[in-house]
Amino acid sequence: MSSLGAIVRGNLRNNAIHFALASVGVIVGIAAFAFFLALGAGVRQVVLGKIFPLDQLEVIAKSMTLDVGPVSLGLASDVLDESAAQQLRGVAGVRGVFPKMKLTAPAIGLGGKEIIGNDIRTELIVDGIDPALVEGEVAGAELFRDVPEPSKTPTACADDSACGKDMYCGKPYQGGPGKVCRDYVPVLASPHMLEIYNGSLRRAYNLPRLNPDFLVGVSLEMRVGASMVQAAEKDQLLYDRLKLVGFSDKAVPLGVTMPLSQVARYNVHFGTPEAATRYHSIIVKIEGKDQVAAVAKKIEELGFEVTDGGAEQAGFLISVFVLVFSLLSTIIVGIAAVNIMHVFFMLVYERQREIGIMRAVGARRSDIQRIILGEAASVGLVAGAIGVGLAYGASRVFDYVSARHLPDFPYKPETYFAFSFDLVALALGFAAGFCVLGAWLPARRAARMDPAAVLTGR
Amino acid sequence: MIRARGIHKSYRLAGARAGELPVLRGVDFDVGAGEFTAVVGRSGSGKSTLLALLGGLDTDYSGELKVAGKELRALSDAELSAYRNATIGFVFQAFHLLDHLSCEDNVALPALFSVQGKESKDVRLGRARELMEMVGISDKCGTRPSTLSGGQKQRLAIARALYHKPQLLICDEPTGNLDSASASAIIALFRKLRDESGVTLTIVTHDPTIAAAADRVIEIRDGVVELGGVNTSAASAAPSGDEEVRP
Ligand SMILES: Nc1ncnc2c1ncn2[C@@H]1O[C@H](COP(=O)(O)OP(=O)(O)OP(=O)(O)O)[C@@H](O)[C@H]1O
Ligand SMILES: [Mg+2]
Repeated sequence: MSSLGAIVRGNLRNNAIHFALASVGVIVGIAAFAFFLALGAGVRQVVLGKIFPLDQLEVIAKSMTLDVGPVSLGLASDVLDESAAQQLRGVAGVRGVFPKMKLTAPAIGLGGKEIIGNDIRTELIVDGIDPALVEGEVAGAELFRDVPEPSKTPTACADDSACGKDMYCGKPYQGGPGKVCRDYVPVLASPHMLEIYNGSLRRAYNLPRLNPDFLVGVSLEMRVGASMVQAAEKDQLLYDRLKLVGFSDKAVPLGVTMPLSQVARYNVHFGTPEAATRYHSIIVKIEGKDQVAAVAKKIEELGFEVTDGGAEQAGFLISVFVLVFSLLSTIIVGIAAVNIMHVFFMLVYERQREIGIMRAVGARRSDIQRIILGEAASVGLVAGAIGVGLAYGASRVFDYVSARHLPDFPYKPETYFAFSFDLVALALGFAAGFCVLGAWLPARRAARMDPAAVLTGR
Repeated sequence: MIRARGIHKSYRLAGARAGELPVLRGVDFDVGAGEFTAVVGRSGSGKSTLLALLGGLDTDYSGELKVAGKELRALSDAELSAYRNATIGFVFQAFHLLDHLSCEDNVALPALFSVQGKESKDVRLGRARELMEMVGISDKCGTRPSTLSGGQKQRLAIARALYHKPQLLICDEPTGNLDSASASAIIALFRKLRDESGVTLTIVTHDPTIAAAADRVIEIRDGVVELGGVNTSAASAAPSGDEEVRP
């Protein structure tokens, strides 16, 4: 019965002006719908993709405390060991398990002259991660690898050229006089730091904008055991030179991230041999974003705690935002559907004779209904396409204005919108659906009309 | 072809004159295959009402009404639609053509609702042109119905009614909107159709020439069939209530 399409097309052409007027509301509603949905999806991509990546979870030991009156006793240690990692590996939906270790001794960093003109001295927060966690993910990841044990009999040197490739001439690992050839400790930094620096800090201090490519390769001296807080200072210091090899959102947001083995080496030095496998958290990579909740639940059932990096709240806020605006758009489209209904009632009335003729030559009631609903669906699809087009145009204008006239801020995206195929399909389906809904009663009336009265009428 | 026994039909009226309006009160008649029957009667006597029943446009009646062996009241909407599509053809006083379609597309309109599967566009248009040729308006191919004269419009409507080679052609005052010359041409066409294709013709008319051309005349008066005999002369074909003959 696709030949009915010819009738539908003819009717669409004939009543183009009516339909155009009727679909204005649908166009506006769908434009708003697509715009806000794309905005929500785009912002979600930025927030969940860059600020809080959500295909992974960070697992920590459950902090068990026993409250006895005003006294609360910590019962379990706050570290995880290899058996915990083993347990997490067994959870369904887990793609990989990557322990993380914090440096348990204080450390300070010295450097920065090449970048901002002055050496700065700062307490360093140091995290260690399994290099496999970032494998193939960031540029420079191949340089992010375990550092060999510092040599017991290092080669003395005068400057870097006396040492091998990728080595430097500097203080011995455990300090002391003279200079020896040393391996750099590769570190990753979080793009968050760069964002925060470029987005706001640099304005306050009137410093240049930094670009990540420029920063890669920069080195920094580190003294483990040293602290700007006198009381925390250890008796003995360890010396290393850090080299920034890349940026990764797996890196600790504020601080430097190095291979786990290196942090373990420091922790064993300042603690006990067991410190080598005392992890502070474990990153669990999930097979798919939609499995995150289920995996989190299973992990909690195993007696671990899953840290909430704010992603859930952010995701929730975005969902609320999208919901509110798509509800508003739905109301607009709903009102438009009422308008569509009026127009179709009028058209059905105007076309009584035509409908009667079709019935007389063999159209079933359902054919009539299909013709009218087909017209409504076509009007909806066209209006929906125009609406999506308008939304897309508006989004481009919005992005352009943002790029040209808004100052930088952390995570300022190039586009705030994500028009996916699904979104377009949804918007078109929505438009067609509402038009069909609006035309439902008129189509029924048309199908039930008495053809005899109009045809044999005087 | 048609067998009617004790047909009752009344309209439900709404508003100030609410109630039942009986129109047909026990109509009996038979029409054989290939017969040319004229239905006459005063205005408002129920002729169009009877045709709507015969044509399966209205099944709200009581009594027995069988066309081509089928009790129309018992058919589903799909069956009735198939019946209107292929078993019968309709011709109306007001032509009822679709002005936004070409003449050929008007003739081929029944093809769009055919239950016999889809015909290709070429087949449809070929059949339409053949029929337009047969009714004598082949020169109007490609034009719109609005450009035709009244007589040509009615020929086009007849071509449409014949699309699926119906057994029964039902016409409601087919010459009512035509001048006498066009009317006689249409009557000649009906005769030719009856003679050549043997189609059963049931024509409601006020036109004495049609009545005269018919094999028999049925008159509806006071809701029943008054006269159902074989037409032997033009005189007997004229409506007996001669005060109500329309111009
Ligand atoms: N749909 C309807 N609802 C109510 N009454 C109707 C309806 N159709 C027809 N009638 C009434 O039924 C009666 C018969 O009408 P019908 O159209 O069958 O007459 P007719 O014989 O065809 O008249 P004419 O020669 O004027 O065409 C009339 O009184 C008319 O007013
Ligand atoms: Mg009538």
